[in-house]
Amino acid sequence: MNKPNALNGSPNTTDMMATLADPVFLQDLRRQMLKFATLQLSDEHSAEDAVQEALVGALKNAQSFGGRAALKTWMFAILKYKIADLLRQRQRVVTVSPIPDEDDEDQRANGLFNTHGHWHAEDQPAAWRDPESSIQDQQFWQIFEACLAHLPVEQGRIFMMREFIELESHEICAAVGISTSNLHVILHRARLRLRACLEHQWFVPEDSPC
Amino acid sequence: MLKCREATHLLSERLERDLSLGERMSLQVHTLICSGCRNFGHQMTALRVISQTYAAGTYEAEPSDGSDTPPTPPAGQAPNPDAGVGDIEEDPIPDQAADPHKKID
Repeated sequence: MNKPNALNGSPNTTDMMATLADPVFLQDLRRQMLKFATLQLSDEHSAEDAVQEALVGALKNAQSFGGRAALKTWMFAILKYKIADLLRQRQRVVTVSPIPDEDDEDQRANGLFNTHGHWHAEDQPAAWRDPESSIQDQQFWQIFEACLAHLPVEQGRIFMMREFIELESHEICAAVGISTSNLHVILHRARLRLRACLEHQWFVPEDSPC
Repeated sequence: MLKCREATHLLSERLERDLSLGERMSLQVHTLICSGCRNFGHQMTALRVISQTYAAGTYEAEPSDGSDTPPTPPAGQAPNPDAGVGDIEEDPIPDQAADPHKKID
């Protein structure tokens, strides 16, 4: 719509211009990126800035992308890079705070196991059938996001720093002000929670209670 | 003998650091006889793949590049994460149902 033929390049370029002129595509992409960034930065302004910069950066090179999927991957890669930068910078301003729900979480994690340290029967992990095909399923991602949102705030933030932004352990420890062993404990708990949620909600759904 | 609680800790920690030979061997013995922890180990790998897919932004299951499939809003399968985790009140996905374009390219 916005001058799709302004560049008389290859058909690829024309396709891409059409894609970028598609307001629905751009809006959806922006919304998805904003959600992703806000999750991790817990600050809408920084998130908005990061997304804005990533979009502008990616659009400059838009004609070099073969299609929407490639463009999207590129945009998310730039966004991740920007978020990582912001998170690293924050270690200078963030005051070290104790993880607030530590004790509760400790009890909760211990509650999965009996006094001998073995799984309670109802908490024992089941085999997940075909996780690879789940990632093709739109509904799976809704469940995933819901499970993610149900992690305790600090746990979720640290999990995302590690798994989404792929910061190194020492970077997370510095940014959050915790020890390495503390980090491992928190990641363990987050994973215990996430896997239980995904299992109950998706991989091995139970009959919902009346 | 490793207990499930420690075994899961190691299976999680394995994603952060190289385990020692002793740790690897105790894990191997434990998971040989414990299907729960064996499943847990597979799930840790799956969780990492899932996270990386999510963070790459490529998780909308586009049928093909550039195609415009109509939105298929989730039909009545609202997630109920409380069954898995229990103690949090806020609504994790406030506007999902109201937004048919959310998951569609």
